[in-house]
Amino acid sequence: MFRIDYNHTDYNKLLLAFADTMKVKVKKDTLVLPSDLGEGFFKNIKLSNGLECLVSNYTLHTDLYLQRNSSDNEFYILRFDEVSISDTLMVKIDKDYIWETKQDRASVLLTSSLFDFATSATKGTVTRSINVLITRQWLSQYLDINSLDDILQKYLSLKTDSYNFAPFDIEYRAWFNEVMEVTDSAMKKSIIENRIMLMVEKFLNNLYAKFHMANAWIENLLPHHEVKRLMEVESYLVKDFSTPPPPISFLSRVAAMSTTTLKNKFKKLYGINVYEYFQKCRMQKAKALLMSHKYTIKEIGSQLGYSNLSNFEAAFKKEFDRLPSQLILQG
Amino acid sequence: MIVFNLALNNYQKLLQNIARQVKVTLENNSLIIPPQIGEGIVKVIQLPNGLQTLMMKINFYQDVIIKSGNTSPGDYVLNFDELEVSGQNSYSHENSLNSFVRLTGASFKHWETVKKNSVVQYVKILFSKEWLSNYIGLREKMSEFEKYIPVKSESADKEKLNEEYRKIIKELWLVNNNDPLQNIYNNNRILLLVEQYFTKMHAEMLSPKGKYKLTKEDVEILKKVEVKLNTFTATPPSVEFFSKKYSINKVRLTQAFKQVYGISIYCYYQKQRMQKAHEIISTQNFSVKEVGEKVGYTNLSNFILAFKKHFNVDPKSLME
Repeated sequence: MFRIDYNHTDYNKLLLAFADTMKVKVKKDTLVLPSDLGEGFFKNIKLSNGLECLVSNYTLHTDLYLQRNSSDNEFYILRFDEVSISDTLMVKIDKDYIWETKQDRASVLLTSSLFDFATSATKGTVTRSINVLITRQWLSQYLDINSLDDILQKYLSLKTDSYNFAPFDIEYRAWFNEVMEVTDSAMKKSIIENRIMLMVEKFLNNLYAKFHMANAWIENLLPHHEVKRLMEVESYLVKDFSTPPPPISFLSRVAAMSTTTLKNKFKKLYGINVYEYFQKCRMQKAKALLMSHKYTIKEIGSQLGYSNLSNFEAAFKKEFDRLPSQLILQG
Repeated sequence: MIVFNLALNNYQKLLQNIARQVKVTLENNSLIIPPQIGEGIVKVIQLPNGLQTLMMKINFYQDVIIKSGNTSPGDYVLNFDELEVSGQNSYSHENSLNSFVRLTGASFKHWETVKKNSVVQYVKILFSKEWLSNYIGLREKMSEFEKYIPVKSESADKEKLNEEYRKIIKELWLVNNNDPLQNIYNNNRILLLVEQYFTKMHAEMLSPKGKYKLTKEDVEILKKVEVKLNTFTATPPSVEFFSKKYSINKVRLTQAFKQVYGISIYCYYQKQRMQKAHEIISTQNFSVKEVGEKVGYTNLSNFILAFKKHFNVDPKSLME
């Protein structure tokens, strides 16, 4: 097991400290993992508005334990994570532990530097994540800090309760993928910045909306174990678009719920029906592939399981009101 | 006639000027247009990152003149302009392009008479060259944009305001002044507009469909030609003249000019002198005949006809 302890308040120093422990160098704000540890990178990205982000994408070749020790210097970290757990993943927030085994999870979590935070992942686990470091100074510039403080404190006081891990929905997923997969174009920097900011906006927006209906919302929450299983269902839905989506009977086993309960609770958590969700994500994927300019429309269609080009075009038009070819023309 | 001067590089000050002009007080960086002038709102968004955005949506109850443009070198304005002229739908007049996006640079100046009962809807984003290079990361990608941005911004080439732009602009208008998240909403919408514009520009640079790939020399020649087109004489400079003077093939010059400035050399010359004429007339210091002469018309009625054709108003009516 490889362990790193840290309590840095800026990502530049954090990367340097990581590099020191791993005995590698940071080049162009990027740390490439040594092969005994894993394959992949951590990258520090500073947005033009002052926010710092740590973007990472790696597969572990050994077990990794990361521990952020609490610090008196208060700031928040908004974490967008997509993990494919090989065996076990432990997440520790302050004094609470969450264990997860062999599943895919994509979620949003806000933590504060006032608490210890640790993750322990087993060999073979694949992690893609975007961490946004939000200082109080930045918050005071961009937000009404008084109202926000109140809400953030309430949020954090609930710590590991079920709502802490908000699942990715279609929008989060689309933006997240754009950041992770952006091609090396001249607009790369602003695309990354704008997508991350949209994710931050969405998170805060949801948070405000929820706290406005505070009690009703907390009562209506799905219990954590159900959210977890629904997230697992979601990850099966978006795993592979080249084949038909898994049947409801299979998903209902994954969720350990009856099909009716699954349908209802899925809709409650994600806002739309199970298979509508599949289709929307599939179309988002199509859009992302189109924008990458790497494939022809026909190729994209068949990657996404459409053997017939015009079926694909019709489905695309239904979602975006435009044909794939029109989207390409618009650049 | 009221002249709104939007050609300032400080939008807070610009807003204060308008407030004084129409005699209303400012509230939360915005003002309501009084009913004798029209119905609408003007507001300014100042983002922590230094970007300034001017938004206005007004249905005018009287004719007004709007002067827009840039004032300091190194500043750019990204203009999202919509004009709905009374009795005609802007959508049906694709050719006159009443709704468009354009990037304007330091030397851009524009005069426009907006007729009674017309609706203007503007979103103008003002930023410096430094901000842009930092935001797009131009320092790494400079070579590609370096050539294009100055030319594009000086040409004030118009681009259609498509549905994506409209959607973002609509969202921007919906942001509530009391919302604790308003800064983030505004920030994200404004930056998305900027991103969209430059993404399009980039696509255009990479695949100039059937167009010329411009060399640095071409761009230099075009800039010189453009300067010449701003001096007005009775006989406008011809393509032959430029072609000989700068040793460039006639066809190449014509097409390259059109590609960059969006219109032909003569149309450009005509547009520039009409703009100049409008500017001089608005100073109220010269007679219509004198103005005509200043922009190269020896015959008064030809000038009046040309002016009417361009602005849809009689030059005399601006003298009152």
